[in-house]
Amino acid sequence: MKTHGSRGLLSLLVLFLIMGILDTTAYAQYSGSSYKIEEAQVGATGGDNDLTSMAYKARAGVGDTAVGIVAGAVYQAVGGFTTSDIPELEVSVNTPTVDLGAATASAAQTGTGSFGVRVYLASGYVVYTRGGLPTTSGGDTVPGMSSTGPSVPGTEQFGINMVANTSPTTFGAVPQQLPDVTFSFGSAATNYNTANNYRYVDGEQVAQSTQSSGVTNYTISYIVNIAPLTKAGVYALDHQMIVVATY
Amino acid sequence: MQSILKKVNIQYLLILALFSVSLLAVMLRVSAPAQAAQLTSRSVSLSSNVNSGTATYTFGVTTAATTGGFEFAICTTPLAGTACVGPTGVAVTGIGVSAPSGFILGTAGNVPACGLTTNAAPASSNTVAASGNTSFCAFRIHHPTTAAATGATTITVTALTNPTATGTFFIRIATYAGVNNTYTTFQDFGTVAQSVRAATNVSFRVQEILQVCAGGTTVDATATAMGTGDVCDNTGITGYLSSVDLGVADPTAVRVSPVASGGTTQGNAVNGFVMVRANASNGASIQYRTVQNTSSGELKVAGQSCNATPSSSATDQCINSSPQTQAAGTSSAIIAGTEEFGMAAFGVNRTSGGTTAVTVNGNYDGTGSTGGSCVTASGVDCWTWQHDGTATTLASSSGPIDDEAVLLKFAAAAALTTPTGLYQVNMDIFAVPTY
Repeated sequence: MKTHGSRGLLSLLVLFLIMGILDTTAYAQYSGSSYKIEEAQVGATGGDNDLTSMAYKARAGVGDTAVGIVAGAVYQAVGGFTTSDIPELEVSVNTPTVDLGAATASAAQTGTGSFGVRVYLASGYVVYTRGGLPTTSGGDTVPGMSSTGPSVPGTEQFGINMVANTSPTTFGAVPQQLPDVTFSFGSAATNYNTANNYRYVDGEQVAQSTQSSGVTNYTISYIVNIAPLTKAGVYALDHQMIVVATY
Repeated sequence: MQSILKKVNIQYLLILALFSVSLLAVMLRVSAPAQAAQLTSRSVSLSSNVNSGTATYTFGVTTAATTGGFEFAICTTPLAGTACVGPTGVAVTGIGVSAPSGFILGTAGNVPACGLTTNAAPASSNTVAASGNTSFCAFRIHHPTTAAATGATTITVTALTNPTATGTFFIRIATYAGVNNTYTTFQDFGTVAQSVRAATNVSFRVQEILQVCAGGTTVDATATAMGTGDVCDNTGITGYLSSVDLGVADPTAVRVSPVASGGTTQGNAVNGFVMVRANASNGASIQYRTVQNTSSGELKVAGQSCNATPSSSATDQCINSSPQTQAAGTSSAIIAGTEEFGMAAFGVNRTSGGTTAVTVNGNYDGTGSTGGSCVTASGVDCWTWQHDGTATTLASSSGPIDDEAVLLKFAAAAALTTPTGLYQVNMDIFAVPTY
């Protein structure tokens, strides 16, 4: 009886010792509404199994089965052979120039541009449009569409959206997830996600992802309409897509 | 019995030893310095993501404790605790802090250095200063008196110069409890990523438009509609006449357009007009020049010469012209029995367009009435005529013109000695837009 009691006391002390010695600091990468874990390691692979000697350094892993981003309504995890603990934001502009041609009062001019976004180890990202209005060297402008609506020839309009359209012509595309929808999650924002409806408010949100995402390629659909007496000249703007990731 | 006691003593000694070690471990943990943690939420937004451009950086961080100072290091790599290499082109000289309230830039002598290791958990050195007290890639801000930042905090830093090269860069953020430029008691850290690139140039062209129509119209008032569909295009206005006929001269009267057709007057009942449509951002000048016939642009019998330039005789086959400006005062008036020919742009008809851009030149703003009361530059009863072929401005605008028509009245008076004949003159009307 006494021996059993001693063993129990011994077990408690050992547990106490383990609790006392171990460091409880955690670094979070996986997150939900009430928790966040960074660079957790589950299973055989990860960052701790480095192989080193005087002559070489390597990293090994065996038995990895999950690769990619696993996401649910309240969680997101990154699985893979070896995941990085480095936060990333990559923005690519695929079309440095978009020439909408010679505008007329009788029909809209259209064009497309594209950009890609990849964000890693973030709680998501938001894309804002910025660049002011199309302006001539003399300071004349064509106004942006302050409310979402269709193309109206003969009225000065400059607008964009982020989806596929059939009016005033067939152009544009929905956001493309690379390599597929299980890895990438970017989407067009409200006001910019309705086909054949356009809008342009400088500084407004045009796209987002609510979680870390692989590459999402966005296509920007541009339209311009002018009035019969819109001042002559070359109208241009340096259009920026501002991507803000929250880590 | 002794062996049992010995066994019990050994067990108790072992338990005592383990207890001592455990207690020591707990004490060590309790006495260890508080460890810095990662900022749980952090972001940065740039007012311009164009490489090499100048931008305002807006940071959003959530601090776990009250914070008296922040450190920002702009680096090519993200990991705190490693050397920070500043991206080429980044510049923090001349930056400002507009938020949070009360925070100001750190003073010289307390600036983190580029190329040196930044803080990371656990806390290491926190007073690494740049050589020469300057840094191109890092800066600190602090509150002079209070650790005022807590919870979700927005930090706005103006006039930062973005990296030269396109691509991703990182900003390592550290927080300190210490106030007044001390940056003591390192608290938390975190890294955010951003990227810069060339902006997308979006452009389109609006072609230049200029349409000028001129001729004769029955419209005799600015408010009278020019007619449905009366818009100017390059082929003119359908149905409008190309001439103004002042009919048969009478030494006892002044013929002023529109001169009634038939009867004793025998005119064609129209005024002159010039309508312009132009999308010139700097407006247009509407001008005319008289077509010269045997070296003069006066109302004359074609092919005949005048006695002088300008004609001054009432016996040659030229009607003497009104002065070229209203400066002459009463001599710009046309009086029955005194030979004279002139023109007045008495108004602008805007019933066909949507702009109010055109104003008449002061030398042609005659009221279109006759008599001897023209006073210098008054316009009342004043007439003018540029007989020498010089291009002269009738009217002008400072912006685009949408089918505005300048209405023209012509007036002529003959003397008793004026020879018989068909007197005529041609006007060349045009516009000069400035785009």
